[in-house]
Amino acid sequence: MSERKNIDRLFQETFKDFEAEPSEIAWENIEARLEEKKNRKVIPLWFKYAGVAAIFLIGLLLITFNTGKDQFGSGASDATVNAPSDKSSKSPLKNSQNPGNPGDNVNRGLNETGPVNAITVTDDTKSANESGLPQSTKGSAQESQSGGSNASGIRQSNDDIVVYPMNKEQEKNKNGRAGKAGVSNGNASPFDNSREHYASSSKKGKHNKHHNKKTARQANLSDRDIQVAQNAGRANSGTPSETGSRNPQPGKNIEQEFKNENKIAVNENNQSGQPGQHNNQRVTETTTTSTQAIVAKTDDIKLDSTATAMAEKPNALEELQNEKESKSVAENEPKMNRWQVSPRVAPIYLSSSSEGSPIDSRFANNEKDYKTQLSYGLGVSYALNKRLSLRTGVNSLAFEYNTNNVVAKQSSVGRKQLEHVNPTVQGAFLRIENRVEGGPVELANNGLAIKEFSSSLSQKTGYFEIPVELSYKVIDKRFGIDVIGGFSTLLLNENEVLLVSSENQMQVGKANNLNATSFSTNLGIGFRYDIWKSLQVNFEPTFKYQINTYTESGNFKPYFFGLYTGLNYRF
Amino acid sequence: MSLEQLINDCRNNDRKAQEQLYKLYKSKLFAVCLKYSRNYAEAEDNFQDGFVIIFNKIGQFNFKGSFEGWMKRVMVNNVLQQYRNVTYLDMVNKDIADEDADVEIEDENVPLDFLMKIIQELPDRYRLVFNLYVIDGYPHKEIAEMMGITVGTSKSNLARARLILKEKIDNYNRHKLPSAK
Repeated sequence: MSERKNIDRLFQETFKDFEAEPSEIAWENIEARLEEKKNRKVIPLWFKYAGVAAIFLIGLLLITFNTGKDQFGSGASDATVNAPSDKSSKSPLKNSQNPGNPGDNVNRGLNETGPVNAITVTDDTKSANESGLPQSTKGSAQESQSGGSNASGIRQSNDDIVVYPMNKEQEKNKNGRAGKAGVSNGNASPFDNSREHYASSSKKGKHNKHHNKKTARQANLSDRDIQVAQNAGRANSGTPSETGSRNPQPGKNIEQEFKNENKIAVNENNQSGQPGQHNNQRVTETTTTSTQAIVAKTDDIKLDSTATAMAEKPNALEELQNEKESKSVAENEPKMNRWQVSPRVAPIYLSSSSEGSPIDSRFANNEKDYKTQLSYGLGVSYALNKRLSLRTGVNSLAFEYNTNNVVAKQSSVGRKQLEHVNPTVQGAFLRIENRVEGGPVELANNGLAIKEFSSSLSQKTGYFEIPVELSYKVIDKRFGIDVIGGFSTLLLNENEVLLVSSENQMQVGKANNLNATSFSTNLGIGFRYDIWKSLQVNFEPTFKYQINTYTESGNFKPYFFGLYTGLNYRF
Repeated sequence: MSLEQLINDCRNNDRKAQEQLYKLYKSKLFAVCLKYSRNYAEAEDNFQDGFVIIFNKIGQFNFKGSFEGWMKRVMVNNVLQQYRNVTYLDMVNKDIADEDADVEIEDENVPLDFLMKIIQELPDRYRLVFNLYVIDGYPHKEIAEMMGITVGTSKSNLARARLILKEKIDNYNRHKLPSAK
């Protein structure tokens, strides 16, 4: 007999003790994902990639600084990334330069700066020693101060890493779901009579899918990853105690390095003192006394600081040192790195924002047509944080544009060389000028009309482009939008001026007003779409304004627009 | 081993402990996922995602209140996260008069599988609200906060869900009755 019943109660009663068995494979999937997450935390293998990228950046900066363009002073902000390691290696060098100099131009300033440097260095040594020694032997308060800041640096980077995989995981989840939604919708499992049946019947249907998922996951764990996991297994588990025990080691190494460097610096400094004595009595008297005083002083300080090491707060220098150390540690620790490699290709549309001709001012008003060229390249990107990445890479880049409505005459009579072209042998016998419609037919010495080729001048240039850009993720979802800004260094590797007529084309020369190294400022917007968690397609329309392409441009201000399309592979 | 010990081991990423915990609670938590998801496949996905989150966030459990309740909440929140962002046209008329009115049905012996099926067939938000309110006993205010909707929307979604479910159950009973009697 049926009776009226509240619908809520029906459901409440039915589902009160409802339990359902998930499929057998569920745990394996969960385990695989926990395992995967663990592995992602440490990636010591990326050390070498970090090294390559660092060398790359340093090289870039050297190029930038050598050309001495003020407008690229902005590059200095990038330099700070590398600055700590540079400084630490350079300061002993600077000191070692002193012994060579005193012979000729010892001046007080130089010698003074020597010892002053030495003080800072020795001071540092001291702090490094103090923090280094007790770590292995005593474990005093001093150690916990300097060592502590080290550890915190490392820990910070660990934290970052913990964050990343989680985000990734979430992304992945979303992706997985989005991809699966379609499949699973169509797969509504029949609900039969018993619970068991319900569970098992749909289990069968899903079994394959989950199996696939799992194998895919396992495939993702390449041999390398597994090795990494083994190598780093112990250091890796992320518990505070274990990371704590791991941290002192890199810290110690660095401190030892500092010790060594500083020893050298001190030695060399002594040497710089000696030639000074030989060469210039008067100066050395003052300087040696000052250095002696300083040495005495530093000795005092050393005594003081060792005596008060327990209680003393780290001084400013020490803090600076520690900061430096933790910075360099953070930089060298690749664990927080999120690298991305992006092969890309782009049609390049060249244009000029003003009329003008870089070949010859006579052609300033001629019609130009710009050829679309393809640029290929490989980019490397490093995520500074969740939203900001630093990108660099190499692109091949080629430009070609035609200056139309010119004629070439086979006569050297009245020849005027093209302003900015060094002619080839063939080119030297040609007169290239503007075509004048209905102009008088010129006669050569022999009375015959000079042969004219109506043609166009094609200027081809090729570059290696090395961009240094920052990209900011405005939207960071499966579909993402980035804003990209930066500059590119363009290294000239192809330079041709061709005469192109309907019949043939010949090289007439090379432009002599092209800078071997030039720059462009870049601004772009990037659209990304995640195919998998580690693979994205991207499309980045980017505008690049060339800055000093020509030594003398004839008011030709080129810019180009590239539709960069490519794949991002993250690891 | 006490539950507390087990939880602590899980915090240390002890795989054995994690597996044990999983085995202890998988049936209950999978049941939750089945109710809150659109179908079996999505339930499995949500279940796995949820468990990964549980293990990652187990350090946040502060031993106040029931651990099972905490895990359930993580599961539910994960599912909500999945479906909350799904936009669909909210065609609900605000003028449903008796939102809190009882919806009565014939109490035939309706099998669980059928009830599960019709719950899963509900539009996402109706399903979530119905589950949260009716089966898991959350008040409307809390539901509204969890789902980022207003209390009014929560109530009207619930009323809609009830009506849809009632209709399906009535239908089921009608088809069944002649053969039963």
